[in-house]
Amino acid sequence: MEMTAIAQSLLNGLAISGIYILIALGLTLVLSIMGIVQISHGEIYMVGAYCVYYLIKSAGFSFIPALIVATLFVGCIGVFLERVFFRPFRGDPDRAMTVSISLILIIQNIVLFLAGGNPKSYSSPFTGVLFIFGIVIAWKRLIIVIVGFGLLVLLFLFIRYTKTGQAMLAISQEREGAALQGINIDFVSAVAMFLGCALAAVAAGFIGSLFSISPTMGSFALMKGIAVIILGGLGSIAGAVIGGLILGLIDGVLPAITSTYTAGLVGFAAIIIILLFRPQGIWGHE
Amino acid sequence: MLKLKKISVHYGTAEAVRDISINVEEKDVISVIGANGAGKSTILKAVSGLIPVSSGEIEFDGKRIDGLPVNKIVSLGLVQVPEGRKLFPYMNVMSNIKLGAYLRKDKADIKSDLAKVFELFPRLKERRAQNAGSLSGGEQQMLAIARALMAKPRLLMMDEPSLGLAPIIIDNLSKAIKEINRSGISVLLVEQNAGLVMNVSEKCYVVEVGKVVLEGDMKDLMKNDSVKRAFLG
Repeated sequence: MEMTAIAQSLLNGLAISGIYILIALGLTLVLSIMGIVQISHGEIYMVGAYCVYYLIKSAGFSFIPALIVATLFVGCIGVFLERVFFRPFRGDPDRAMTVSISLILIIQNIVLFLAGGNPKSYSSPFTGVLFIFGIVIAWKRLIIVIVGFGLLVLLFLFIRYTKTGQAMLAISQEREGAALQGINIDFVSAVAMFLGCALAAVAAGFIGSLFSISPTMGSFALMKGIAVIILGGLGSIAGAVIGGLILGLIDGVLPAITSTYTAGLVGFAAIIIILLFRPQGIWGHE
Repeated sequence: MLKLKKISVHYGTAEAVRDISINVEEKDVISVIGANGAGKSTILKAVSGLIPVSSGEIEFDGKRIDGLPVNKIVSLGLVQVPEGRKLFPYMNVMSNIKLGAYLRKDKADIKSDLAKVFELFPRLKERRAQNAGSLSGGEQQMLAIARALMAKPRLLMMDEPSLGLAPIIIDNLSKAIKEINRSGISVLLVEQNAGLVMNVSEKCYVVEVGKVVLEGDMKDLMKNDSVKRAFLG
């Protein structure tokens, strides 16, 4: 394979990694703060894509403002879901899981009713290509890498340097100990849900600019997100990043060399092999 | 200062404590002793608001606090060092200590309190960059107390701080408790270790299967049979 092809599939892989990481970060935040495997995270993501679509097509927004508004709006949906559906079942993961599964059906059908089942699409404003050392790089993929990893850095700074971020870490490590320091678990859960859902909306907004969107697009995102956090280590942010990078690169690079099917096979084989040696995931504790 | 008036607590339908009344006055060191499962930890959890009381009242400075959220109770100066420390194992000592001051906004005071805490437990200062989970049992207990002190407690509740510690470490612990009390903080201590309790507290409540069976001065109580039972399990 020539240089350009290698560089391009690497960039593809990194763009997919960026998307996986954004999805997985949301899942991992919600899991570690609220103790819930948020199965309907994929539907949140799907709603994000539809928000961007309608803001562009019906409200006449251009892509970037649409993405920002959709992100904030979906974050607020997350806060609403936390308050109404998840808070009553905190500390009761079985019931929370049931609620989450029913949310999949509810959200999917609402979107199906409002938007119909036909796939829709909008185009990325980041057209054109960039030449670096004779290698052609498509802007619409590069921008995903930049935004994805930029948000990652912001999230890291938020957790490391703000009080609320430290409270998140504390809750994820020792819930009762955190409550006894005066940390308001309700408030921090709402923040976690806001951030998690907002990150999913960003990922979906970009995915919609590359591929078409449909009411069932969430299941693929959820499957990849869950695979990433299991591979990286449940509840670990660094784990979500490493896991997302590995799976994203496999899914982005391998199809160019072999086929999409091989990529799926290799990806899950890699997970099984890594978990055989590190059952807690790459970055997990215990 | 802190008054528990005939409180009962249930876990589901099971009664954990019944009609418990305990009084802590300013500058007191009060102990609650009893065998495992007698309901001692439940009492502290109820005061902190971690579990609801099913009947009775809890008053702090003459105001009712039962039913308030945990963070409100902490902000009143009623701070707990929980059983098993409940530290943040993958955060370093310094981050753990800082989280103790989570609700405080008085930056300058926090700084001087941090210096005081390090003076009380110099070992923690040496280990400040180390993860809490990697400390020894004694150091972890020091850290749990340090973290609680950073919340600026007026009354410090400690749940079995001696658990799993060597006798020499327990001696240090009782020195620390006396020191904390001398600085004007009242202490409510839940314990099974007779030596520690006799060393630090003047007054003591004996709890047996969810009820206070005896209360009084430490010296008188030590002659009593049910006190011996409480200590020996």
